[in-house]
Amino acid sequence: MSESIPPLDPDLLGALRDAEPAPAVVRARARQRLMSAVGGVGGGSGGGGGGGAAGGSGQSMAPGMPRAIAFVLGGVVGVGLYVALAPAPAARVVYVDRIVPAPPTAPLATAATVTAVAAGEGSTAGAATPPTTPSAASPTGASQLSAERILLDEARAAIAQGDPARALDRLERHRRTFPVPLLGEERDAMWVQALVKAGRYDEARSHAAAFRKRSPDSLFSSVVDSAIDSIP
Amino acid sequence: MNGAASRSPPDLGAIFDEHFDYVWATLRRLGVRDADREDLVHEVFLKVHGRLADYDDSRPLRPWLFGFAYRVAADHHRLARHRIEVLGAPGDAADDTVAADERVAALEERDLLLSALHTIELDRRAVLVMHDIDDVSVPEIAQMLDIPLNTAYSRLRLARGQLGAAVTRLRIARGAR
Repeated sequence: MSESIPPLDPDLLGALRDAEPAPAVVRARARQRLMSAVGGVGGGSGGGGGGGAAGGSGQSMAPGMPRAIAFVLGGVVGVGLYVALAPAPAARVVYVDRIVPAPPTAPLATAATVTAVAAGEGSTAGAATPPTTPSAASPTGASQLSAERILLDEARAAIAQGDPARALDRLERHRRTFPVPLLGEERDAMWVQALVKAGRYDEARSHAAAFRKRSPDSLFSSVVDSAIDSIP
Repeated sequence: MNGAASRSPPDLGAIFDEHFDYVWATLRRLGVRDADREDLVHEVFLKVHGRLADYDDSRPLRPWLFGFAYRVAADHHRLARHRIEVLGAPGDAADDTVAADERVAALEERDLLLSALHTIELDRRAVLVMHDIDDVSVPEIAQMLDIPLNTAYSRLRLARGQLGAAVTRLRIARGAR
């Protein structure tokens, strides 16, 4: 029956399949949130079960007793059990997007500088002679963020497509282009992922160890751990 | 795209790591706005967690995940406050000030396609996404969505027709290509 249905234009199909992966920070945040929730759900249902059991015991423990006394006793026992057994409230984690301001002397890259460096046309150290493009004439932290994002998005897409060599190339360009990066942790976490994908396990472990030492509380720790755990 | 990425029942973390991008992209294709996607991804994986024991590891995982994503997206759209969405939405935030020409063109094309996709009713769109993007067979889709086989074929045919027409219409409207 499917033969009678006109197929989609292959170009349309290709474009529809070309989905942009989620930013690594969103993925890391979502994973952390999910794992916290799963832990919280378990504890919460346990507490609820305790409360239900307490209520049930209040009704059935003394069939001959006046209903009011049984009710009071049930309540007291229930409250006691709840206090004794209820889990401590789970820590609430609030995430705040961090924009780390670059030092005034840091080179501020735009797409032009990304392209220039990618083509091997020199470093961005010449901040004293800024390019004349409008966006470069008034560089901001946001423009550096966007320029970094482009390289990291390409690296992420390469990892997702099973091309760790290209991912490592983009990450290396990012490292060279942005000596004071805004997205350094994200880059380093992806670096570990790419090394694992490339089968360079010893290097991956070494990078992971350095990452944990450098950024012990990073949002991307789970990304790094997950990559290392996937090593066969 | 490989729909049968894993046939053993992995734990939730492994499912998340392997299929997060798929669920993320699927929700977008099902018309969930960027602002809501992170919350809905969370909801999908919470529901997956609640039904892990029901997972049949002889069956591919992605269609199973799609079922959760579809129901979560459908519930989301049913809420009146979420109905103003997607048509003409700019899509994922792209920084046009720094994007290369090709990147901008690709993003525009993708946005146009997503806008066209979102003109299709959700039940038809789900069949098209599963079949044409995720490579799930129509009989499997019918089983997954609990609809008759002929209905699934009919939805696919209608969805493809609507998509082609919508793309043409949007391209004319935008004066593109």
